[in-house]
Amino acid sequence: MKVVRAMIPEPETTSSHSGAATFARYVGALALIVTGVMHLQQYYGVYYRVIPTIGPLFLVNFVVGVALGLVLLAPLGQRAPEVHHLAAIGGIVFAAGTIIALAVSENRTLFGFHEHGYRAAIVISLAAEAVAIVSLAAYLVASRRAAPTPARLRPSGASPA
Amino acid sequence: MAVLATGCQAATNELHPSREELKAGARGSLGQVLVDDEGHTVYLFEKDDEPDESYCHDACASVWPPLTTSRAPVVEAPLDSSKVTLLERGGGLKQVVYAGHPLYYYQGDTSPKDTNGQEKDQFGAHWYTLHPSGQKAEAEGEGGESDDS
Repeated sequence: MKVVRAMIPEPETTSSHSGAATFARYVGALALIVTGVMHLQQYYGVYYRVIPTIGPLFLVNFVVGVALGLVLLAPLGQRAPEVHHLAAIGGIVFAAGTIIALAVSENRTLFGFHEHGYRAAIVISLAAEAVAIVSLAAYLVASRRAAPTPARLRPSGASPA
Repeated sequence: MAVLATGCQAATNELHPSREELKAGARGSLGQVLVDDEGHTVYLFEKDDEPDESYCHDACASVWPPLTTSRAPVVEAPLDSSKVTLLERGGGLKQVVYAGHPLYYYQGDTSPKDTNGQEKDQFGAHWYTLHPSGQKAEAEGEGGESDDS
């Protein structure tokens, strides 16, 4: 008896996972861009540019947030999965770091700076950072499930020798 | 987490938490103006037109931190201690008021003797340093202490 092995695709719903991953990536990217833009608005709109250390950090926040967002939105061809995964991890760290920095500055001082209150700009930024973390984490999970797995070799039947 | 845990105590003064002293310091063409005991310049906000109210909150208070204290500050001559009062702010903080003007630091002042906030037009009104008389200070040739409207 001779066993014939054939390539049979996994019965996974990879397309639905892929769609969810793409959606989560776009949402996370937009949330990062919103975070960066809010920091730029504070930098110029309410004079945070005069604050030592914090002012430049707000500008850095804008640059990093928008850069990560654009990378996550960009169609990068064959290298897209690796680059998008790295950008997603970076975005999660970036958003979490921004939240932690705010918490410190609200409760005591950060580089000698004390933040006052939770005005609308801060609430919007916090919400965007939370959305970014959740969305990008969801993207990482969904994209892993959607990744094409090596088709396994399965016995598909037997034929007479 | 340790940072967050220790951060529950309210700061009494964002830049100089333990300072509760006012005196006069020379600032070039501005003359003698109010400073804290480390020489940091303090300012009045023209929008604060009543001594028992501050119009600087949220982002404004982040850029212009109010001079807060837990008790009446020590006042050195030529300042007049009778002109010092305290204004209740949120969170149990008391802001120092001099001659009816709630006092603030400016985040753009990075070292003692800086007066970078002088005549800045931010958050709806101008900011000025104060003379020991309580009047706003202006550089010589710009009206001196005569205008406190």
